[in-house]
Amino acid sequence: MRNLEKYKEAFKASFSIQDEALPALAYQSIPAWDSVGHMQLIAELEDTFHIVFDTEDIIDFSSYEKGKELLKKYQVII
Amino acid sequence: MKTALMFSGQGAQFPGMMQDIVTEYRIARELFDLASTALGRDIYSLTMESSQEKLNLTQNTQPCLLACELAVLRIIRSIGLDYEAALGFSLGEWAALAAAGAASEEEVIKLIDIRAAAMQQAVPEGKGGMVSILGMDAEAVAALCREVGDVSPANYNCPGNITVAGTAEALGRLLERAEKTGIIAAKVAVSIPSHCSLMLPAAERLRPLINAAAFHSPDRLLIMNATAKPVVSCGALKDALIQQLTSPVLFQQSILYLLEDGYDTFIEVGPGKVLSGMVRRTAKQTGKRVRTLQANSLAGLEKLSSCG
Repeated sequence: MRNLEKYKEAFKASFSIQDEALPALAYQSIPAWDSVGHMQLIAELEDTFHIVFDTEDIIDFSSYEKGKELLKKYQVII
Repeated sequence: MKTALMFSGQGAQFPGMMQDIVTEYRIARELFDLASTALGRDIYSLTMESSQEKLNLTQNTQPCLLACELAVLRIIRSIGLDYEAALGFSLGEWAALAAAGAASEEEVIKLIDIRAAAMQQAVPEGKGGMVSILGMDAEAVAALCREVGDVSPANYNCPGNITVAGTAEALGRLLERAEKTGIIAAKVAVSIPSHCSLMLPAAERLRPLINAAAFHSPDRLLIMNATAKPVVSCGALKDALIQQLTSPVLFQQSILYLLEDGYDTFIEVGPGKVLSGMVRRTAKQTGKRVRTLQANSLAGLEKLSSCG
């Protein structure tokens, strides 16, 4: 599976959301992406890409698009 | 290799959680039957077929989540997976009691139902809650709580991640202050302010029941939320369970204790992966390497079997 697919799967597993809703998705834009959902997504991505996010990146992870940018720091190119 | 089982707390639940496991394993389904008989309501249907809203009510969340965790514990034992320690996050501590041989399944199921009702009744709906704060250390969060008033640290999750609990008015003031000062804070979707002094009525209601419970001294390392240390005697175990209702969950401190004691493998029992993330972040800060696994699906259990 390509990284983009893995990235999408992490969102879908965390928030039970469809593909088409992903590009516009942002923190707290849906009920499931609350503070607990946020940590669930972070844990899902860490498991998927075998990384551990720094706290500042967890804070900065504000949207689906922003996450792609942050993952570059961990050598994960989406 | 030293392995600890860790059981999830409230917030991880969703309708149909771990249904594949419960469908596949008869012993898991039988656990739900035991819970339904003990509580006089259908815990399986409540877990698998409720709306998210209904499941999120504390008096439903607690028995349903506990049933899932005890069901998986049965499977872990049946496949012969060995573990040396157990701990839980808040409600998960009750599943950890069973995992450490300190209480029977039926005993914790009955008590958790009373605990849930007592917690929900301690503070009327909408009068209290919890807020998660990211990026601040413990001292800064404590100082913020003192400034705001009527709010206190409730969960020390992992470095830079602390949840506070208090009255709705106080949390409103805290969120307003966060907005102005750039602090990252967000409401947690729970209906009660757990692990703070507002839970005193619940603690007092549960005290005689916990003291009368037929618990045993644990046969494995059991780390308590209230102390972040292992408990040895039955009396100390009961005291820590009562204290847990009104004092913070020291999860980060508990993981630090286990890391210091040489634990390197952590198996999360319950839906989701949030505890695994907390463990990784705590371990990263200490420079220790850990392995985290999840017993939350058939695929996860298969992976565990191959490790066991």
